[in-house]
Amino acid sequence: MWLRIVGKAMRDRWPRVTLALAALTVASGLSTALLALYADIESKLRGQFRGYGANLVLSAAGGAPTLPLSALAEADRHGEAAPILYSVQTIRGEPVVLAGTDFRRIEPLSQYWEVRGQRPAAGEALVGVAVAERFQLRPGDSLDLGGESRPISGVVVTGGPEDSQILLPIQDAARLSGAGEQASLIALRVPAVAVEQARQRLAQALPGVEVRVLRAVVESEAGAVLKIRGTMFLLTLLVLAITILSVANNFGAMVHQRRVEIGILKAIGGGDGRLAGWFAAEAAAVALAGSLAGFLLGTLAARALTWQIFRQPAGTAWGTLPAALAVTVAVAVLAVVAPLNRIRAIQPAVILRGE
Amino acid sequence: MFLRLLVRSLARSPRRSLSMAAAVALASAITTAMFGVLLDIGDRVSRELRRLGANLLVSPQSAALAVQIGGVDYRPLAGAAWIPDSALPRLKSTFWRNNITAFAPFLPVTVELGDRKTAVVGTWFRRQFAPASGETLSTGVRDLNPTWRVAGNWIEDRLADAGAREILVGSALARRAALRPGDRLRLLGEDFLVRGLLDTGGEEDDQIFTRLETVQSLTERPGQVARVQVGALTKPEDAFARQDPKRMTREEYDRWYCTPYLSSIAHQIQEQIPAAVARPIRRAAENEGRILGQVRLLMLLVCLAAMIAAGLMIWSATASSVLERRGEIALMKALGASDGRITALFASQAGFVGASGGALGAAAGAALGHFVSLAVFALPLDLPPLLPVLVILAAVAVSLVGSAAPLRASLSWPVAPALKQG
Repeated sequence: MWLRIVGKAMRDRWPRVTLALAALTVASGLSTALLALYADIESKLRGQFRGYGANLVLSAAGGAPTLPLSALAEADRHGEAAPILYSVQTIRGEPVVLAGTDFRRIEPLSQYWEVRGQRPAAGEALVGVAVAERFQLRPGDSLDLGGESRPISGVVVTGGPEDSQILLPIQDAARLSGAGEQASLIALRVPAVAVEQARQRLAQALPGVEVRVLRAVVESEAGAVLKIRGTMFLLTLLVLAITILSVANNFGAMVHQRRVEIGILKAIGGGDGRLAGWFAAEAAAVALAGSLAGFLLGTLAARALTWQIFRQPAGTAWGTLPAALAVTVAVAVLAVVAPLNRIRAIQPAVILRGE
Repeated sequence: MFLRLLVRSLARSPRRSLSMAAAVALASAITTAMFGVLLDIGDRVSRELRRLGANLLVSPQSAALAVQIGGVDYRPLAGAAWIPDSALPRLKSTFWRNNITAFAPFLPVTVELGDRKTAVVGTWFRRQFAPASGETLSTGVRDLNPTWRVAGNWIEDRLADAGAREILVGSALARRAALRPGDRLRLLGEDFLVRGLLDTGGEEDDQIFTRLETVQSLTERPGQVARVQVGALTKPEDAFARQDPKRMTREEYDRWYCTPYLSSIAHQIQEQIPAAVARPIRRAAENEGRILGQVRLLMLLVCLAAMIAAGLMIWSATASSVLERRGEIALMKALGASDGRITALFASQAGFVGASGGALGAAAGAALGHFVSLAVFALPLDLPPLLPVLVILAAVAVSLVGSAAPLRASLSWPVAPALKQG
């Protein structure tokens, strides 16, 4: 019987119920989408900051020129590491800086390099754009290094020191300079939140090695992520607050619209508790349906947005669903029950007369 | 008469009018706040990313190949190409001078310290200068690199002083050589006082820094600078910006010139300093371009979603308000009002509520956006006055549209049943 009353009430007023449902779905969808984006934004942003490359540099302590390549093993435990070995060689009578590195390892640390051509394989060389201009070199030409002729796989442009260097696989560079299994420095990228911890652990594990934090990279990343997250957080909070107010407004208005109906029900003997129960059930049903629909739409929207912007899949936050549902239903029920208390004071006769 | 009807109609059910106005206000507040923050966020995040340091390098056009490891130059100094330091103030005379947040000149010389070659770098720390516009500005490595720290004191070089003999020693070098602030060090044949120890985490920690004019006079290179690092706020490069400026049409060129792409700022610097070439430092430029583009796109899409949601909220409130008044509409028709009259009355009501709710909401939204901007960036919101006006207009438009369909439906229903339903 109870179910029939509630069900018929909703069916009779289906335009109004549909509008309330639509408004609630939209509000809930927007809140869900924003919450999902906010929860994900830090990991997406930090992923983007990887493009800056190394945030830690290992060099030999005490100002020695090189450190052993074996330090790479320890560095690998914390992040992505690549060795670099510098030497000065003579090309056509002029001194040029040679940088030996492991091109597979340096790949994730050098995403900002512009390489015209290819990164070099064993036996090949990558020349900086200033070197290429100075010696009139192009990809495909050959370069005479230490008596060996090397094909040039490409020209690299960075706006940094690499532009004036010749880059080779580290074994070749070590052979040319007679350095052995050594590196001038090891560049390391560690997740930004773990930088200090990594520095301490590496300093402990490698006593002959000086570990420096590239503070400019770390601090600019930290500042930008903090501010963007802060903006998203406050905007999400704002939208949530406005959504809650809007739901309350919407459902409260629905009650006011039906005051005649309430008057009639009271006149035929409906108790306050029972009335509250019916209206609360109706509100809860609409709120539940709207929240679920909103949650689904909002999650889909957030996924689509994340893919569109970051080209990376979004992390799912199923945990927010019960909370979101609970809040929306609670607000809807409160919005319906609260004004009922006011109407309780008014006599049915007054309402039925039309006042 | 019409006005009296309008006012009476609104006042008869204040709760309903207020409820609808509240919905419009809430929706307008969301829209105003979010678009206000969106318009600012690019600039704010860009400034945050500038803490990394320079994104442009200005070097002499005829510079020979650099032979540098860790900042130490292995080439002899004689005959090296240079940029005149008299050209430096012109950096703040370009079209995009307000986007150039800081710059610093460098003149390094290699010395033997103990048994190692070490770079002694002459630069500006925070030097006053006067560009063509006449005002006094200051810039230097302290402004270009806000993440640099000094244990002890910075060198105060607001004004040039060729006779001063002070240095900042890189922290790693100071550790090795057991130097502390207050110690003295002999360089280039003179005694220098260590004012402080510089800590950056980069290769500067192995170098020594002093005033530009000190290095210029001690190496007999008056008025010369080896390179200049520049930090600029830029718009991310898109396909348009990557074209060759020499191949652009007049209109395209003007558009490119008047947009703060890194390439056009570099071009303008080269116009001001003909002997120099300006190139992007890709590690900074590429990444901040990509990140800024993503943040802007994120905010824009979120704002559009919020705008659609806000519109739907207003539409729903307006439509349900009209639906509720079917009895009233039927009564008016029974009394002889024409459809046109009734439509005009309801449209005016919707318009009035839309405008007042929109105005209130826009004001509240501006305040909320202002609060967000202060809380996150410690800067006030830079709100264009057009935004609240557009929001109010949109609120009115959506209110009118929202009442249109239910109104038309109600007008077409037979009068008697509608009156009976009340």
